[in-house]
Amino acid sequence: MTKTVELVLGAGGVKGYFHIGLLRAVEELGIKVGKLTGVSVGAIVATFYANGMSSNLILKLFLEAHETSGNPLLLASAVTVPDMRSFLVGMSFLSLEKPWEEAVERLGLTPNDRLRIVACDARTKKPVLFEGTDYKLHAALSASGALPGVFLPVHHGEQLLIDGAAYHRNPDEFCESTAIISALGFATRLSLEPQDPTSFYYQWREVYAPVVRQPTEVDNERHVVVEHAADDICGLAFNLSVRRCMAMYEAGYKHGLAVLSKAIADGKIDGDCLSKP
Amino acid sequence: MHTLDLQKRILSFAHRNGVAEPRDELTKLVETLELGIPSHVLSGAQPQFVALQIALVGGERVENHLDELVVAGVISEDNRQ
Repeated sequence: MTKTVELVLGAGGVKGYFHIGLLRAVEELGIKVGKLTGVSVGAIVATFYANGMSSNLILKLFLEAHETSGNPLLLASAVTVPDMRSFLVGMSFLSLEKPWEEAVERLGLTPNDRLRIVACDARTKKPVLFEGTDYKLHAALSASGALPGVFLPVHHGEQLLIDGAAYHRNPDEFCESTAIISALGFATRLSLEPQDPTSFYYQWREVYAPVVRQPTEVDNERHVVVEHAADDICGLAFNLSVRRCMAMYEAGYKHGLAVLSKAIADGKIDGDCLSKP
Repeated sequence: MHTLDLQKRILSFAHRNGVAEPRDELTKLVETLELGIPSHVLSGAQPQFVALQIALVGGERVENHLDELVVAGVISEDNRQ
């Protein structure tokens, strides 16, 4: 059986560009990737990668999506009238389900055995895993990113599912072997760059009043942890410049390359997990 | 052209009248333009995903190729839209 390393791509909104940079480092070092676990934006990147898309293509797609993210039609497609229970959990009129249903269909994305998406039960705060091939990918992606206060939860049987980060921002406990964990830090200060009022509000909220407490601790002994810091960028910064997005991508690549190279040299990543000698 | 518009154009090309196997058309396009998309993606992924990969990898080259096919009358003028 081929030896592989698992990947955990954590939550963090627009900071997902760090994940894409890390994936470039993984490709360059010839690290063979097995299962991918994703939460929120990590679930999106993991889905593209598990479907067979390389890091440079994911980057291109993200940058194009970034250009159209202010499109009012996109926002309009997310507006919905929620039932009372959903509204009490999500406190919002925006649902990710319809936009994701259209995107999954249009892009031809499918669930597969390499992909594990983590959401959270709003009532119990326990994790809900989407694995294998028998689930609705758009529902899993919508649930995994349904941050309360911004997006409505997703109905899943009797459960209401919210952002997997409400359970854990970088859930490593489901990994069956050594994993590379790409962990996105929180904003800890306000941005010096001009922001639109919505982004400023979310930045202020992430810095001073986080609505959802998000655990971040991971098993440093067992796994290789790549922590990405961009303390002046919040996950819901909608108007970031392409320059900042590319800076995160480059930083994710360089930092990832350094951490992973050391892990290979130290033997923490087994040589058998490399496709290059 | 935006990638998603090009993807739509590629799918329209692959599903044009008279084509029995749209997936084969996509594979031929990849081979003709030497786009280097892995065979497991070509054979296993949804046609929409294959077309997306072709659009992302090939970009302007694919556009030009489809334009040539329109001029040659292989595909309809509607494909340009």
